[in-house]
Amino acid sequence: MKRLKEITPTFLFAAHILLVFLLIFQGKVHLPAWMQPLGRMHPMLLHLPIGLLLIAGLLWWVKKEFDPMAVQKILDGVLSLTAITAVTTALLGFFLSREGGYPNGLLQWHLWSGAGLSFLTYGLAIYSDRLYAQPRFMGYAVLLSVAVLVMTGHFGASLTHGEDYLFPQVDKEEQVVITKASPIFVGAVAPILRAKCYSCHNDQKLKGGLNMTSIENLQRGGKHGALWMSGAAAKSHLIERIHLGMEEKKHMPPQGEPQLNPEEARLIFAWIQAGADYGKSLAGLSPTDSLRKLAEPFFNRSTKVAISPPRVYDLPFAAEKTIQKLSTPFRSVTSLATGSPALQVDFLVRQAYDPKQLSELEAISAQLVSLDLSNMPIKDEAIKTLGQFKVLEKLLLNNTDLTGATLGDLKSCKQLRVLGLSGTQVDKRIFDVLRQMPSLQKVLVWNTKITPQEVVAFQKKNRKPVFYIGFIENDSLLLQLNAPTLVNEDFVLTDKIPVVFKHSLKGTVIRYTIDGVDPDTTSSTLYTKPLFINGYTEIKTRATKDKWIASNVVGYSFFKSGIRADSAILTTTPEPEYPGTGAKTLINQKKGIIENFKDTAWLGFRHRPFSSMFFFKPNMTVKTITLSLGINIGSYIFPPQEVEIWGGHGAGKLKLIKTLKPVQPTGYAPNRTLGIQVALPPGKSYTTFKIIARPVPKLPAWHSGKGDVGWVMIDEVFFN
Amino acid sequence: MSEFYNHRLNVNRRHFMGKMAAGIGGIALGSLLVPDLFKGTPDDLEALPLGVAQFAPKAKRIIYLFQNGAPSQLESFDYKPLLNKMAGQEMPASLRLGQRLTGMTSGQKKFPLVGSHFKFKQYGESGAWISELFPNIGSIADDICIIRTMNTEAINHDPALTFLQSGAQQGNRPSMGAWMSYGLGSENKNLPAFCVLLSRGRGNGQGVYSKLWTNGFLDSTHQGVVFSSGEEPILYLNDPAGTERVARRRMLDNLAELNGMAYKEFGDPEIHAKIQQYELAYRMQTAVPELTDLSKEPDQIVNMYGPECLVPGTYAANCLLARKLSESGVRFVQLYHQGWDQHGNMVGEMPLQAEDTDRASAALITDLKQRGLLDETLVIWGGEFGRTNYGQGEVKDGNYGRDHHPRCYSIWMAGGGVKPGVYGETDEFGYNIVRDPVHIHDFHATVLHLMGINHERLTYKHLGRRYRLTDIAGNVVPGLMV
Repeated sequence: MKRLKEITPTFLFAAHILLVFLLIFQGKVHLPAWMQPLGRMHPMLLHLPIGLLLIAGLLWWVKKEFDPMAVQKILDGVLSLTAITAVTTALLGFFLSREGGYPNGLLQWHLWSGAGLSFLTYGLAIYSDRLYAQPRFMGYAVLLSVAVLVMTGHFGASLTHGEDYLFPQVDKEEQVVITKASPIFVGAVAPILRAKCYSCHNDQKLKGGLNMTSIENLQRGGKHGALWMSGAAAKSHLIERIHLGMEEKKHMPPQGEPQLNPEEARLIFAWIQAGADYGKSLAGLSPTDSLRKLAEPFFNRSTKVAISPPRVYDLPFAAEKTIQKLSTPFRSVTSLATGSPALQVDFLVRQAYDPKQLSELEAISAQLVSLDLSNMPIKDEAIKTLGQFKVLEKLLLNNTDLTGATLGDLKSCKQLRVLGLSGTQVDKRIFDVLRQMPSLQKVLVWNTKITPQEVVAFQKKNRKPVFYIGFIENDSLLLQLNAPTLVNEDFVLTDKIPVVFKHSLKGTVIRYTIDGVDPDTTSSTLYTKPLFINGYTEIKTRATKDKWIASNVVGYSFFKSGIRADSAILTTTPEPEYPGTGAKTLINQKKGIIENFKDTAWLGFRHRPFSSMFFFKPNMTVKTITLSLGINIGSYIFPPQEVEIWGGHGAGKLKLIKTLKPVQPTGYAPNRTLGIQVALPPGKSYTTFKIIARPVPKLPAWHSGKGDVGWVMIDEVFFN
Repeated sequence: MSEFYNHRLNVNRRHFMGKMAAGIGGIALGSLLVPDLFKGTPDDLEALPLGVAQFAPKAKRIIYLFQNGAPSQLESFDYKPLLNKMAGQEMPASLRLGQRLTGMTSGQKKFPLVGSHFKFKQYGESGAWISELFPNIGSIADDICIIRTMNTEAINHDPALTFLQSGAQQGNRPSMGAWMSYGLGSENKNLPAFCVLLSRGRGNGQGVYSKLWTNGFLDSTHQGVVFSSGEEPILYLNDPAGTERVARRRMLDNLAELNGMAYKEFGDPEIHAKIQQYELAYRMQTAVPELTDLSKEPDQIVNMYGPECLVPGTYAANCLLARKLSESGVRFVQLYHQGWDQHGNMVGEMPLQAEDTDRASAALITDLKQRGLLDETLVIWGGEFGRTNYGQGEVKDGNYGRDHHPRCYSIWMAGGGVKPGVYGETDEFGYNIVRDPVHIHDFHATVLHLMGINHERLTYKHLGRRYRLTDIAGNVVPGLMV
């Protein structure tokens, strides 16, 4: 006995630490099999602490009848035993709970109250002598323990006997699963009533003598009579109440209560109008029925995440090793989803195909549900192999070399639903063969010898399988051609680099002009070979073809790179936003992109004219000067008002050679590159040039910035 | 008596140690029952197998036709006749409810409503209203689901684009395509799982940046591969003249060996990524020529996609290439078509943008359908936000512009498990959502769901926490799915 007394505190301490530990890590505990019988002892053992605690309580209650010392001794022992059995029971209970199969919420209540009880009894046991000195505390502590005991016991009993055991609930609300086949009343109307009406019109609370919680009660109506007249919503009492003004006393739901929103009111109206039928289901109505349209959103709301369960395949699993062996870069073998035995196989890269790759798939013929052989050089013989894939559901053979002669071999694929034959040589003979495959739903026959008329004729007699003909070329459909493509994307050309155009569509003719006029579709020059340019040239092109609308006109400006200036200086500063890279921007043979004036290839001038000097080595004869400018009318970038060319030898001795006023635009036009070419008088040679280009001082009246100063954007000056 | 208690409370060292031993014993006993205690991977966040869908997917691949710059929903898929009736009148102040404005219209004193210059027509069984600018998309109305209630948080292009592509506005997260590549892997080991194609329209454009197809914190093998818009979509793919395939193979093998040594020494995962990228490039040398070869395509495709499909770098050509890539098992093909930013000149630019995209977008759907691929490919068409129902600046000569509007805009999706029809409703002013909103996070969650991924379970641990494409938000929208 003495020994037991010594061990008790240590045992209780260790056992409770263990209990706390287990409770903290309860999600991770794995119970070895041998411990399971221990858990099963919980229902037996649990009666000990119950009895012992009740005895302790009883003893405490009647303690005055006995010798106090004896009572204390006995109580000490009883409480120790209670604590020991309580913690043991709790631990065993925990083990039992790991077996699973208990409703989690209730289980947690039982678990924690049980643990709490164990701790209470532990406290009682080790502090019993101290508590004994303060009888009031002891009384409370015992009482509390008994209360927790009752709770724990109740939760435990509910676990084993079911929640309804003690207080069976008679009219518990059923959890209704809403599907399209559910009545509209259940899926849409009742939820509205429940949310907006039940609170005042229920079994307990019958405002206006009305109870709305069941169909019978709804039919009974309230003290003002029937709620509605089936088929005559406008005359119905309920509708009237709903649509009364908010300020009206009779408006329902009353002011201050959650109101029906317009969709809900409309739905109830439509439902009554349609006969207030409690049984009519959503699926029973035609898709265009207005009641159905109104009710559908409510159904969607009620069905929550109505995600259809994934298809489960009842197939034997293939060996992982087999799958790995079959999976190559040119033949992908994958499982349909994690944990699914069904396999899909795609063949990739035509030039890597080998017939052996197909026959090897026989190893997984029991799992192969989807096979894509499109674009592979599959011959008619291969169908025989395919016929062995008995669970195949989808088979794509588009753009293969099939003629359809052997398709009958697919009859053994009893599950086949989709068959792709687009782009093959099959013809109408396959109708007869495929008609005999009962599971076949869809056959793809785009771009084959089968004509739309043949499909229509077949479909008239046979509903399944559906032959899908896809896109039908329409000869009467006139499409506009795309413009010719410029092959070289460089706009600065030398003597050796020509301008090359092409058109991607066979049989297209390209016409062009170099005089700035839009080419027409019949008489403008035909483009036959690459063009070499002599100087600045604007080429406009357009493509034409029979039965096509001629393309839009596209124009390109080409500059000829000729004599390179030795050096250049700017004599006015560009605007700070467009500094380019200084004067060398002008002679670096690099053109800017018209879409991006921020590019350093551009120099921008506005408040000061553009002015720059160019220096050449002696004995160079410059015949023409071409300014390359950007035009973006919407952004105020115009051709210059005036261009002056000065020439001479040395910076100080220049003479004005030429002045010209470029043509100004008369309206908005697309952004473009503009070349201004100036021919110099023959027979003279200069080593220094100065070029001045003055921005338009006042933009014309038609422009949104009329009266403002225009911009001049320049990226290069060419000398030839 | 109290001395007794005090004495008992005087814990001496031996007593303390003895008690502690008992306590530790209790823990030790308990730890026997918790084998995974110190392993550090909590059950609920257990890593999922990558490279395969978590559940049966509706779609295996995605083609995202991104209309960069924000096409106006009011001139395309959200018909608001009231705006025509009330044109010129001030927008009711009750609509705005604290919506912030961009710097471009915040100084504007008036917000006059503007109706669409373009007429609308009803198409298909759903009777969807679609603008006259998109007759071809109208003709496939029964194959597509128009979502009129997309909404976002960002109000400027870059954050909005980044948000839509990566689930965050700041631009340090992986793009959608990178997540797909990470979560589902590549179907075709000879091509990148995530390809990006760029084209430029004729309207006012906004830039696209490589951060939109970044792998973020994921391994760089998941980065989007941008195809060139020239004749050769992938540059430098051919071996230099005179190089034999065998020699190339030997070179790569030896290089991989050297890289392997470096990896062993430094352990940098990027070295490993590099080896894989070289291998991918080698395999691409055989796979790509088949992709770019149009000679196997029937002449009809010109009639379908329009003649521009033969001109590399155009939207039509990119649609055709996207179909070929997708057909070859590329998980995520992302197109960007620029030029949809109509702050002004809506009347001039919108038809040009529509002309560039209408025929080819519709052709892509038809083409996938006739190859039996539409039911396993998800096609998405749309921009980063919508445009305001009021004009930016004044209506002049019947022409107008619209500013950015994040509260509602329209996109459409087709194929892989998408329920055709019209989803959601905006108010009659086209300013606020009335019913069934689809936030960007919800959109991401739904797209991932269609691909067979639970958006809450596709995670990557970075900087001490787990990230998702939807981060901490997003709900799957069942109404969008079959």
